[in-house]
Amino acid sequence: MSGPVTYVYVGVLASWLGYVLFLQWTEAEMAVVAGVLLGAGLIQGLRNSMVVRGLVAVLEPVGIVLPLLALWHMVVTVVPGAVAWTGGWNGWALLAFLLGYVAFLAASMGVTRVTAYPLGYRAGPVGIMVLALCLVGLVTGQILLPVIAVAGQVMWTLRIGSSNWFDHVLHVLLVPVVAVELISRVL
Amino acid sequence: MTALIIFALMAVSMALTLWCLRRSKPLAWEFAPVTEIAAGHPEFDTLLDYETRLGQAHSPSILTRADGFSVLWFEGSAEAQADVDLYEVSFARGPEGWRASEPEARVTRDAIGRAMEPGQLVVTLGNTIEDEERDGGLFATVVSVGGWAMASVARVAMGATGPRRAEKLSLSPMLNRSILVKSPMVAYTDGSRALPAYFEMGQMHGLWVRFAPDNRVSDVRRMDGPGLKPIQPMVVPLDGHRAVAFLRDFDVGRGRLLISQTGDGGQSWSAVRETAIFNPSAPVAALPLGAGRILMAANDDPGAPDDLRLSISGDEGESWTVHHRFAGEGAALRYPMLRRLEDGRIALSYSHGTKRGVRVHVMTLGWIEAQSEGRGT
Repeated sequence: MSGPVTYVYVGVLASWLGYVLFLQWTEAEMAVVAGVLLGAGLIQGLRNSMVVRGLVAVLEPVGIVLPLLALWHMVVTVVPGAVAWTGGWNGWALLAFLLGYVAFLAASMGVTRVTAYPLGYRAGPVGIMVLALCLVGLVTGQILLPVIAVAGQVMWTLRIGSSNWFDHVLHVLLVPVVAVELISRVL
Repeated sequence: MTALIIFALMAVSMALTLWCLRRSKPLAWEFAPVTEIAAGHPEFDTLLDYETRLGQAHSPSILTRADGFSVLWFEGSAEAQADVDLYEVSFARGPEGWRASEPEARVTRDAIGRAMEPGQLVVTLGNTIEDEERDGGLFATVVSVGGWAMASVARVAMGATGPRRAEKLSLSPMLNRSILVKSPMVAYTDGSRALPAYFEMGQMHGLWVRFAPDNRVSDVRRMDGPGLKPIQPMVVPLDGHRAVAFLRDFDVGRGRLLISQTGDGGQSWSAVRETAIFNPSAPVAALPLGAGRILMAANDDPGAPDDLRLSISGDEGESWTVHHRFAGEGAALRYPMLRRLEDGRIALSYSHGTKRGVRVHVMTLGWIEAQSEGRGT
């Protein structure tokens, strides 16, 4: 089951990449349509190609966070009012996330003796972390955070993809994504 | 509206958590009793002395079976190159003695890439060991991009003609990269097994991997030591809760074998420290013999680091008596593996000629004890 789901994830990411490219030449709505066609075509037609198999090898475990953020980005560009409903990302919160995530990655690489990553294998700690993220969303009015946390827990519980919840809700590509977003806000 | 949706999500999350808690079974942390190995009549056979024509054949591992065993190694122009596949020779014991099959490519990069879930590119293969929880299963070191620092461990289910299904283990948030295997699994009383693995990027460390009944990773513990680069843990259980791990120091300069111990069945490991045993940054193989005795194959002679020596400890690894020396004769003997066979004999494999080939011996403990290089360390 994790194979087809990974292809859907990669298809969404390819759609988003196409959308960003097409946005240079066309309106947002058309760019979304063209991007989705590109992503779907890539996964449907080139699934066994070196390009897609290489992309899967590099990105795996893809997790649910990148596809959800890509979809969210496309939706709020086409429907600007959606930001008011879903809530935006506060710059300080993004900075705190970036620093915390880099520390989490460093700990997992042995920089410290203690790492939080093994908590992601256990039902109790995962449940507590998901509820904590839901509470953060409740306090800040940010709905995407609880959606990512619970969607990751659904995939983890259904044993689709990684056996560690963190792999569903985090991805190392978030480091450059968030860093670029922060830099663009400062500029 | 937003608050309502979030409350609904919280309800879903709590339901999922309760479901997971109900279905999850706690891991046993008591090692299975060590099977005592009888000395037996002194016997020694060399079953394989193989030399590759491709370039390098290295890191042989022993896969046990009821009627014998097989040895699997990686072979290609050089390690970590895009032409490396896994080769295998099978050995069966009949009335007339041991019979060996011809070496053949058992797992190719292309086949394992196609068996991957999800399907993906595999450019090279490395250290591979037996998955003792599944008949014919393997844990293979696979690389999809880059070198060993980008390696992952794949759990491979084998079919008659090759890999049937393979899945990378979830062991690190760094895209599961830089994780490798080398040494055999260790059994627990509940029938499950733990996998010794290691992280080979930045601050290197050993890993102790446990699995749930559905074959997914369910726990990972660490063996690390400040200032050291411990990799390739070789774990020997001593009783239900105590075990000793011998580790290679990736730093060639220190020249010492490393050690870590557990007293709680592998839930925690002591800080890795240096031993007095010489080691030229090479992995060792070890086998519990019962009653606190340990057999070790190691490059532990500082005057001849290419030689491989068999030593026995009678006091849980505190002191060692050297019994036999396999001479490197100008080229290194490396990456030993020791396994107990079904009939109580001991199989030893290693690469010879500085990765030019693979050698396999079968012997009894009685033969080892009768050898008398006889120097204590």
